[in-house]
Parts: sequence; structure tokens; C-alpha cells
Amino acid sequence: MRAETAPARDAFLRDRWIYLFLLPSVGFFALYTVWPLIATIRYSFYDWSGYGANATFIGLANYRELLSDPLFWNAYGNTWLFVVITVPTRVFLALLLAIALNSPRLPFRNLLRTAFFIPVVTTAAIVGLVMTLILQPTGGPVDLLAHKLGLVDSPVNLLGHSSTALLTTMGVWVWKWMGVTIVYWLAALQTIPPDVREAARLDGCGRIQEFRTVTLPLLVPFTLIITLITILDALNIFDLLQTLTGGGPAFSSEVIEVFIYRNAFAETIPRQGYASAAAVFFGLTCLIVGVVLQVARVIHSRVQAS
Amino acid sequence: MDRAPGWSRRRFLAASGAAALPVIASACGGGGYARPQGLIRWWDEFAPLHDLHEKMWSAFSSRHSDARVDYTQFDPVTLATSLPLAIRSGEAPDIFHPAGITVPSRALWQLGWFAPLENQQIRNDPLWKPNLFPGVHIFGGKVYSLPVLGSRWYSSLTWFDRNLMADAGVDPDRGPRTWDEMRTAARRIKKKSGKPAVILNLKYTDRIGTQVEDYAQLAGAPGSIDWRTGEYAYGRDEFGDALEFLLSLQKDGTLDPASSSQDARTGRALWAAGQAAIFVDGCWNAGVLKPSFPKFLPKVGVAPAPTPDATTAGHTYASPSAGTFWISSQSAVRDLASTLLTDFSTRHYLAGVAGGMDQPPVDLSVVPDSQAIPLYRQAVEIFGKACRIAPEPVIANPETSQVLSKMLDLHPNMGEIVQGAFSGDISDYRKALRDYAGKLQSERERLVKSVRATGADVSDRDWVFPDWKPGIDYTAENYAS
Repeated sequence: MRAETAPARDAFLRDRWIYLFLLPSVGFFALYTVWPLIATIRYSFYDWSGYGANATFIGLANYRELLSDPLFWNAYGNTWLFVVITVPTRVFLALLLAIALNSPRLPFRNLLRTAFFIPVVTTAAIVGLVMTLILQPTGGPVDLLAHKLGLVDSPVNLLGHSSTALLTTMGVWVWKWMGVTIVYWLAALQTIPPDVREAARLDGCGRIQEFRTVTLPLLVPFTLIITLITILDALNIFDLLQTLTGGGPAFSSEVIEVFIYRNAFAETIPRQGYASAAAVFFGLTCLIVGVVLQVARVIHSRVQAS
Repeated sequence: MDRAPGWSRRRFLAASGAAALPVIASACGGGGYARPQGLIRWWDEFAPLHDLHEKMWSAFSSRHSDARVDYTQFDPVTLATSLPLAIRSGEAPDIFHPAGITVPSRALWQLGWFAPLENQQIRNDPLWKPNLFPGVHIFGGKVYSLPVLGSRWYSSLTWFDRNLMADAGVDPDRGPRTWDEMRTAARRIKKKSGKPAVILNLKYTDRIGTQVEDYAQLAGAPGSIDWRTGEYAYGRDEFGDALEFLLSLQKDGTLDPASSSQDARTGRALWAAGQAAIFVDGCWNAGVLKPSFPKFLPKVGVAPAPTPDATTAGHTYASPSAGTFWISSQSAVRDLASTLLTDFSTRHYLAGVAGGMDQPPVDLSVVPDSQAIPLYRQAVEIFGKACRIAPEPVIANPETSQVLSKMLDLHPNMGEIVQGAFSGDISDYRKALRDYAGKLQSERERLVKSVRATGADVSDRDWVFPDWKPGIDYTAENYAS
């Protein structure tokens, strides 16, 4: 036994400075990520306004109320609708653009890459504010263009109608974050050996056939990772959505983050416990999604290996 | 292989980390920042009053050599979230305004948020005596805060471009006074200019809900509660009629379609840029126009919110306003803070508040002596004629604060019904308003039963004030009788 622990102790002593320098990062992670997570789970079992230290333990009452709250399920449904529509759109469109931007024959390639990335580095709240002006139904550029093209004959209020508010937010979000997904795809495309593609062309493959039979299969592992990252991004849209629509009109664009914020801070009597329960419930759902994707990735790796 | 003598990169990094650790550890400890003596931390959201307050703080510091005010300005939403956090963490500011926190102040007092003022004689000051009420400003027999900002105002004044109004055939010195006059003027303006005539702030439901409530009250509704019966009044015809009037503007095509996605700031900017002729806003509009749109200001007129017809002389009703500035119970400089707040209890200060042209002061009689521009004075004069003080159940029975502090928001609320009516999601808005009133009534009855079960002496009768009369202030004498 002593002989077994001695190498472990020696390894620890040898690497002690690594652990020491990791300590601040781990500490901050524990303080600002792990502790809030544990606290949120704890608060979800309490009726607490946040105004005083006293909170009443109510067990699963918050979760029972969630299950029968139509506004919660509205926000929950809107969140997943947002993910289901925007993630494939952003991933697929970004792939097409990355393929075009990867071509050495494209003129102003670097300028276009920069142009696509500028919205990424712009603050989401500012984008939201500016977009409310661009999408204005009277005098906004989008409305003016639609009128000029004869598409509409009355003002178009995309953010003011419950049928279009969420879809419009999706469009703005995809536009804003497209650039970063293009960067992921560009990096992925660099990993494809050029001689494999050259060999395919020598064998008589057309562009589309080469993409389908050579490029795409090699991109599958990256697709899973990029999709997972994009799903996580799509679950973090509070700042953009709050400035664009505030969750309205009539809760039509309210997603789970806005629901949590509204209940935790914006109600006449804040409900930190109830908002925490919503956050925990949704977090569990995301965990399940993450596990499913991870399992898919592992299965794919095994299939590849076999 | 022998190690090279002297400092290696690894050795340097190790030594730096070891040297940094004690510094970080000491900074993380409590009391790492020694607070200067005489420092008063002040949190509020009153940007228009900042210049006035700076002068007063400087004057105070010159009289008290060790006193200095460390001021932090917030927006109301951030203050409403930061303040409870600071109080829970033991880091409360010494003086604060609890912006955005709508829980009754008695409930916050019971949670131990506040410290009383040192100068308890203030309750006998003729300026404050009629405006201080137990359960709102006075707890346990002690005065805790003064209502510097009053509740005689509403947020639905009709601000208009005088030239466009004159072109529409409406007296620009008078403005549209009835629903028909406003609708007709809007149609004429739209016909002449081709642009929408009216901008509303439909994006944020709190504001638009309040504006429809103002219109309903001026049309004859007794307020959100009919104090004669204690029942919620949202189901009354006046509320449905007021919403129907505003929807008629949308139907006529005279309402700016962008209203649904605009807040007050953007709406005001578009109105000032000539996008529309009429903008519905509170008296603070004058205070914003003066520095931000000085060239537009001379073209602006203001009128009371319109009524259904010329014979309806409705009023708006609001409970006595809560205290404005409070001293934290955690403050280590309570005496100094209390002395400072004495400077904020004078008529001269209230006149300064009026000059800031934000929410009016509690005593409107100071406005003529203030630096406020004529438009603001005109708005306050409108309020003096139209705004009345409503009964407040917490004053009659402080235990009712336990019910009010537990009343959850019900959805869709007033503002959400209005927003839904404009977006087409709620077609039968009168039914929605009746349902809302019914749900509020049931929720209050449920809470009254629940609070009674804990031994508190409350009942549904606490919301009934049989001696309340429309158009008349409910005063301390009414509570005494």
C-alpha cells in the first residue's frame, strides 16, 4: 500500500504548483457557477420574495404550480421552438457560407469574413435596440423596402404582432451569431485533407457529389459539436429578446429566461422561489438534451471505429 | 542533468504566486475596505434631481466638515434588484429610494429595512402634517420617511405639436379635450400630413395599463377599486370604453403602428422628430424635452387627458404617496443621514424638486415659485384640478399590508389586456377586464382568509370606505372619523 501511495504523493508534490495556480479558477468557478446552481435548487423549494432573509419551505409546491401554469408552458414551448428553428438554420446556413468563404477564388474573401463577424462582437442589447428602429413599421428601412418592392401595402409591424414577433427575433438572432458558426465551420473545413478532395475530383466527382460523399462525412463529428454549441447559444437569448420585444406582445415571444426574470424581479411581489423552480426544471431538460447529444456522439464514434 | 543556477521561469512564477496569495486573502476578508468616517452612501434613480441634490450635498458638507455623500444613480429596474441584495448582504446604502419595489412600506419596515428619522417633530410641521400617515410613513409611533414626491399626477397628459393641431382646426392653446375631439383631430392630421397622428407606449405593459386606467377614471370610474363597495372596478364600462377609444385610433389608422414596439424614450424621440403630432406621457415630458429637444419645445402644447364628452368632469385617484428617501437600519451614520434629510424637508427643497420637472412634489403650491418651465406648470395645474387622494386600507388597518404583500400578479393584467387588445390576441377585452377584476377579488378574499388564520385582524370590509365621495380627497380626518 505504501509503495502505491508513494508515487501518487510524489506526483502531487511534483505538480503542486499546477494545482496552486488552478486554485483561483476553480474557486471562482465554485463561487460563481456551482454555488449559484446549488442555491437555485435550494430556493426552488421555498416561497421567497427576496426582500427579507426569511423564506418559507414549501417542498414541491413551486413545481406543482409550474406544471399547471400556462404561461410557463408557453415560455417553455417558445424556447424549444426557438431552438428547433434557429439551430438548424444557423448551422446549415453558416456551413454554406463557410464553404463559399473558404474558396480561394472568392473576391474580397477577408472583407466578407469580417463583415459576417462584426454582428458577433456587437453587444446584443444594442443590436436589439437598433433592430427595433430598423424594423419600425413606419419609416423603418425594412418597411420602406417592402413597400418599394410591392410586397405590402400597409405598414409591417413584425415585432408588434404575436404571429411574427418570435419569428422576427429568431431572424435577428441568427443574423447576429452567424459569424461565429462560420468561424467554427471554417476551422472544420481546414481539417479536410486537400488530397482527398483532389482524389475525388480526379475520379470524376462533381462539386455537389464531392461535397456529399467526401466533405460532409468528414464534417459529421464537427456537426455534432457545433450543433451542441449552437443549442447552448440558442438557450441564452435574454438580452436580445428583452430589448426587442420584452416577451410580448401578449407573451407570444416570451422564452424561459424572460419568464424566470419576470417572476424573479419584475412582478409586483417577486417570486425568487418560483423562478428558481422554473430554472431548475428547464435546466434538467437541457441536461437531458445534452446527454442525448453526447450519447449520439459516442455512438457515432463507435460506428466510425467499427 | 544539473539545474541551471539562478531564477528559472518556474521559480519566478512560483514566487509571484506565493507573494500574491496574502494580498488576495486580505482583500477577500471582511472589512477589507475601511469606510471613511462621515461617508453617507445614497442610492436613487432621480437623474433630473441630481444637480439640485449635488448642491444640497455640497452645502451640507460645508456645514459638517466630516460629512460627504457618495452617490450612485441607478435605473429603477436595477435599483429594485440591487437594493434587496445589498440589504441581505449587509451592504445597504445609508439613504435610498426603494424604486420599483411595490411591496407596502409597512411590510419592508417589518422586515427591518428602515431606521426612524431623528427629528420626530417633523410630524407637526404644517408642510408635512397633512401628508404623513401611520402605516405608510409612521410606524410604531415614529416617522420614518417623508413623501417628497406626491401622488397628485397621472401619466396620460396629451402632449401635441401646436402647429399640427392648429392645422387640424383645434385651438393649440386648449388642445383636444374629448375623445371625439382627439379622434377628429388625429384624422385631420393624418389626412394633411400623411403620417400617423398619435404615438402610444404599448411596449411596456405597466405604463399603458396605467394610461388606460387614467382615461377610465377621468371617464367616471372610481379607480382600480370602488371604495364604496371595496370591489375591483376593472370590469366597469369606463375601462372598456377607454380601451375602445384608444383602439378606435388604431382602427382609424391614426395610431403609429410602431407604438407596440416602442418605449417612452423612443416614442418621445420619434414624436419630437415629427413622426406624429400627439404623444401621451406624464408631466416629466417637459423636463426631458427641455435639455434633449430644445428646438422642439416652443412648438409643444399640453392638454389634460381627454374625457368621453365635455360634460364629464372625472378625476384620477391615487393613495397617499409613500416615503421618498429612507434611512437604512444598517446605517452606521444614522444621525448624520437624518440631519442631512432635514435639508430635504423644506419648502425650498420642494420648489427645487418642481424645478427638476420630474414627478411633482407633494405640495403643488410650490410649483409657481419654482424654476419649472410654463409647460410643466400648466401640467401641474391640470393635476391640481383633476387628481384626488384615494383611501388607503393600510392606513385604516395596518394589518392589511400582510394581504397586500402576498398578492401575486395575475395574468393577463390590465396592461397585458391592453397590449393583447392592440395586437389582436384579445378580441373580447371587456370580458377579459371583467375576468381580471373577478380574479383579483377572489385572490384578495383568499389571502384575507389565509392572513386571518394566522391571527391578524383583517377582513374584506377593510377595503370599504363608505364615507368616500368621488371628486373629494380622502384625508386624515376621514380616517379619524
